[in-house]
Order: sequence, then C-alpha cells, then structure tokens
Amino acid sequence: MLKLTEVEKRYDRFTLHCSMEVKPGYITGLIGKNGAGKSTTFKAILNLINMDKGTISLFDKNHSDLSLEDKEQLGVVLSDSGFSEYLVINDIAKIMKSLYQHFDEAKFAKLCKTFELPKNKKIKEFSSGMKAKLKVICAMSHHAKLLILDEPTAGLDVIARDELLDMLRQYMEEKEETSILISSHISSDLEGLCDDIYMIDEGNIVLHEEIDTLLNEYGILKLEEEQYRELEKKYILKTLKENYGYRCLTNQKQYYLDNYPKLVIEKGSIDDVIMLMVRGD
Amino acid sequence: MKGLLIKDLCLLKGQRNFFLIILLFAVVTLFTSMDPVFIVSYSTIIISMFTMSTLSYDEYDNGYPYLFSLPVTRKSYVMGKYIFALLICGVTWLAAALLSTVYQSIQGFDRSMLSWLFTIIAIYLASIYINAFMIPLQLKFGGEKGKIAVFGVFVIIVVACFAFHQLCQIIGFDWMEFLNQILETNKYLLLGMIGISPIIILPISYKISVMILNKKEF
Repeated sequence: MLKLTEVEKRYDRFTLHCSMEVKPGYITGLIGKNGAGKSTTFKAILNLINMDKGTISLFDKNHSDLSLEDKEQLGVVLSDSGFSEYLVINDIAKIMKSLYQHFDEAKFAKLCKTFELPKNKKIKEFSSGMKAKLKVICAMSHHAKLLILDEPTAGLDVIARDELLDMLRQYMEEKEETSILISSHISSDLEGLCDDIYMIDEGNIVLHEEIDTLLNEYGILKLEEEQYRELEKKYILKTLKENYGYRCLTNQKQYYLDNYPKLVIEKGSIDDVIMLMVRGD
Repeated sequence: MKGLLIKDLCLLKGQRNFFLIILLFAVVTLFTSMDPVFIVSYSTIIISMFTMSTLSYDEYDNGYPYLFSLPVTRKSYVMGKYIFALLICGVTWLAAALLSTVYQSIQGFDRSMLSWLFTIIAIYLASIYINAFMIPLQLKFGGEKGKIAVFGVFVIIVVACFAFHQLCQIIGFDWMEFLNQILETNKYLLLGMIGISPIIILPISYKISVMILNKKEF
C-alpha cells in the first residue's frame, strides 16, 4: 500500500532518514515526540516537500506519479493544515462533492450530526476539538483506501478521542484492504488501535514492531547494581542508569521471567519503550 | 478544478457584505457623478483584487499543504485562479458595462459608441493585466510580502519612467510626439495588438505561476 525506502530529507538543523511500510489492511502507527520527524514524513509521502534521497511507493506507483484518481483514494488529516477557516461545513460538502467521485454526502452529513458540528458556522468559530473532528470526517467520507492521519486526536478531550478512534476502527471493519497510517504523541491512542508501530526520534526510525509483540514480549527490568552485573545482557536492547541502579529494556521478557524469577520485570508500555529507546544506551 | 472554483466562490460569498458596499457605491456614484467610465473601471478593478484575496485565504493558517493533499495538482490550482479571475472580473465588468451603457442610452451619450466600446474593453484588459501581474507575485512572496513586492515593482516602474523622461529631455527626444505619431499612423494595428495581448500575456503569467508553485515546499 505504502512503502518508504531510505527516504532522506535534509534541513539545516534536522535530517529525516526513514524507511517504513504500511501493509494492506494494517493500521500502522508513527510515534515520536514533537519535532521527531512525524510531520516531515507525512509531507514527504504527500509530495509536499522534495526528498534528497530515497523512494516512496504509494498504490504501487511512485508517489509523485499519482493520478487524480489515485489521490482520491487518500484520506488525509494534517495537524497544522486544513480547509480555509472562513468556510462553513455546507461549503466543504459542496467542495468535496466536486473533488471526489465517491464522496458520500449522506455519511458526511450523518457524521457531522453525530459530532454536533454546526453546518452554517464558520470553521474559525469552532473549538479545536470540533476542528479536529471535521478533519477526520472529511478524510473518511469518500471511501479512501489509505488514511494518512497526522495527529488526528490533537486537541480532543478523552471522550472525543475515544469516539474518534472508534470511528477509525469501524472504518477499517467496513472496508477490507483499507489501511491507516496514523501519528500521535499520545501513546495510549495508538496502543489500542494499531497493528504495528514505528518509533521515530531525531529523524530516524528507532524501532518497528507489531503492537502485540511490543506489549507481550517487551519488558522493563529494574535492577540494582549487583543484579545488573550478573545479568545476561544478550536480550537487553537499551539500558538507562537510574538512582537505584539500572532500568533495562528487553524484547525477551519471558527469558528473564524464566531465568531470573527474583527480578522486578514490568510490562513495557509504549511510553516506557520510547523513553528507553530514546534515552537509553 | 471545479472543486477549487467552488471553494473560491464560497470564499467570495463570505464577503458578500463587501460586495454589496461596492455595488451600492457604484450605483450611487453613477447617479451623482454621472461618470460611467469610473463605474466600469472602479467595479472591475476592485473585483480583480478578490483573486488575491482567495490566494491569501488559501495561504492563511497554512492551508496549502492540505489543499495539495486533495485530488488537486499544482497546475490545476494555478489554472483555477486564472479562470476564477477572468470569471469574476468578466461578470462584474459585463454587468457594470451594461448598466452604464443603458444609463447613457437613456441620458444620451456624450461620446461616440466606438470610443465607449474601446474604453470599456481597455478597462477589462487592465483587469487582466493586473491579475497576470499580481498572481505570480502573490504566489512567489505570499500575502504580506506580496504587497511589499507589488509596491516595490510599482516604484521601480515609476522611477524607470521618470529616468526615461529625463533621458529623453537631455538628448532632446520628444517621446510624446513620437507616440502620438505612431498612434495616428498605426491606430488600428496598435489597438489590435493591445486587444490580442492577453492571449500572449496570460499564458506567460500562468507558466511563471506554475513554475513558482512547483518549486515551493509546504
């Protein structure tokens, strides 16, 4: 569906170096702190910036060779960009109807009603949560094969985030072979939604893993100095010095559970994994 | 492109109050100053600024990245702007020209029909030149810097004209006389050339605009 191979984009103080893949039927998450390179990756995919190196293949074509019909198969949410805020929802419905052959006007209207978005109020008068919901509704209203969602839950409260994530799950259930690439800095959003996840830090992909593997096989070992010295470090990915000793990230939690029954081993949350992958040695 | 035109028309609709003020001012001026040339030129030139206004709306709040992630090419975006400009200027010009012509036919023409026709055609051409000049500038420099760039270009033109005039005086060349002679002897040829000039100027302006937009990163 989407494949980035050795994509490189150089700025004065930042370089993106990224390879990743979104498979058909997958929800793939891209997680990283602000400024890690998530939005640059999305912009490269959407051909909004020129790459210095690498290739991006979208629907088995080079991403710069997409036809308008191909672009209709994309549903996009960008964190810092959208329709002019001087438009109203009724205007957007008309525009979308003209842009997309398969625009589902009834679905668009239904979702706007569900989320209580006023049809004749200028978007600039919407709350940030309402704006975020509208962006996602636009992306989901024309039967896109691939949703590219950059921080779609930004600015939403917990309940609205949950509703929106449910919408995405439902979208995937309705359409087989549909894929989603979603970025967020809120790890819990991705934990319950994604099939696999890429972690990005300072422009580099530092980890790619299936979410089930990440949650079941990754673990955090909390060790005193002596325990650390005696530990088999073959399956330790990263180590971080703490006041009490060491905190270690492993992708073979079961090995340590079986062989070191006295150790404190915690289930690795995405936040813990990111923190150790980024800050650990 | 149809979607982009609808977007721009929706943005224009949002400024309907401004539109009504322009219309009201035009009608009031027609019945007070009774200068039909002013009505046509004022309405057409003012409305040609709306295309720049839609460019500013697109740029405002970083709207370009989202626009170009829709089924829209940079070429069709630029083409849409030119069509929009020709459309709104054309409709406004036609309405103002018809209103003024009707008004004059009731009040009695103070000039020949041919002279009136040339005048109003020149006004429409002026609106085309303004758009052909302003669209690439605004795409290149954006809303705020674009205004400075336009001002800068006008200053350069004024300074160049002044320098040319001074130079002609120094070398003793009466350029006004020379121009008048050309106008007298080649009147119809010149009018024809001016008439067809948009066919040359618009494609050049469009190509430059596409080049500018293709180079941009969002």
